[in-house]
Amino acid sequence: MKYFWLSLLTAVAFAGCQNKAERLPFLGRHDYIETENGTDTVYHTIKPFAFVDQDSTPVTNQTFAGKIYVADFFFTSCPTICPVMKTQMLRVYEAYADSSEVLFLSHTIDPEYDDVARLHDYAARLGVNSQKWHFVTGDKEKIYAMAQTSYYVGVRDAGTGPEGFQHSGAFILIDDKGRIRGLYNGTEQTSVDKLIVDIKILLNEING
Amino acid sequence: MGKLLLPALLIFGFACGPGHNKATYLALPASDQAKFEKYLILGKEVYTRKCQNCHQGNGQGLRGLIPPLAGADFLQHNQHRIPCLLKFGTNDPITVNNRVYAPQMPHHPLTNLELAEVITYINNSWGNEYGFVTVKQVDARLQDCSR
Ligand code: HEC
Repeated sequence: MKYFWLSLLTAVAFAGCQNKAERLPFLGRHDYIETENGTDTVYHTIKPFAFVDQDSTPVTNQTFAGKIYVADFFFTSCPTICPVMKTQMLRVYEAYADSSEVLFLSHTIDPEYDDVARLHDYAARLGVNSQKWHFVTGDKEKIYAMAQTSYYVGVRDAGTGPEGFQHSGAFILIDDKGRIRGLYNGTEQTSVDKLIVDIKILLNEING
Repeated sequence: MGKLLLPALLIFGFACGPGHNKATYLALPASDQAKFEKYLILGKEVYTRKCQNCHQGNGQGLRGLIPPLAGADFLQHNQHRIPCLLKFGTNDPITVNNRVYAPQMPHHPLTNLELAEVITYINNSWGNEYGFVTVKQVDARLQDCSR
């Protein structure tokens, strides 16, 4: 019984401090620079990129300027976790369907097969708006480099057909200044529930 | 109370095996009823491992990408083709409930027994009543896949 109260108290205490800190963390490596009034922290940001989406429209960092977005990596012929990830991403998409400040960016890791036409067909079959959810293709090396050095997610082409492509099921939450504010498991309902809540927290932070 | 609960649960459990309310079950000879139930249980296990990612736990599929199995007219009317389709994957677009899907189902290296189990499971889940499929039927249907 004693332990019950103890753990309840601890739980309340932790819940309390979570409420106070209504701010998401900054993920990635930070740099510190000297300024006239001490040091400033420079957070990791998404590097410049240029891809094309399912409408052949160029998609760059500018597309997301002042917006927050959720990014992931997938490929259209994926036999394993992609349908699960897309089901989960659709939940997030529906939750923020009316918010012009929230966008989505899905990168194919099989750009040779997933050309604009294939991505167009895929997005149409999902029935999503191309202004809000961009499915992008482009130079394979550049896509893989973005995954590894900007979004910190693992992708790999082991070269044996659809089963050869390997990628993490991560969803990455990026803020209006290109900083990573959360990493989620896109194959897990509870993790994606948290993403839906975190987007709200981030919107509050941005809109004051 | 606790003493009553256990027997009550046991009785309840037996009376409500997975297939008991199915027309298919009731129409089977008693000797096949237990087998049918076993297929439903093992078929669900195969489904969870091999099919659920795409067709979803509720058999609804994923919008225009993955067809539903629940209430699927294709599944209902093409029973003879299903084993080949699962074993070798699909090369042609399939129309399910008036919607055309892309030929993107991968092949599944399942044994004939697993095929019979999983087909029996999808045939009798989510309100479907499409019948019991035996290993013998799967064997026979796999004989003419090229057609
Ligand atoms: C990678 C995703 C994927 C997996 C895994 C998958 N399917 Fe499919 N399935 C599809 C797609 C896509 C189609 C439509 C194929 C076409 O149009 O040629 C389909 C079609 C079907 C159909 C015929 C259409 C219908 O809806 O009646 C059946 C039956 C079926 N799948 C059952 C299964 C079963 C059973 C399993 C597990 C052993 C399974 N599928 C695994 C994607 C998948």
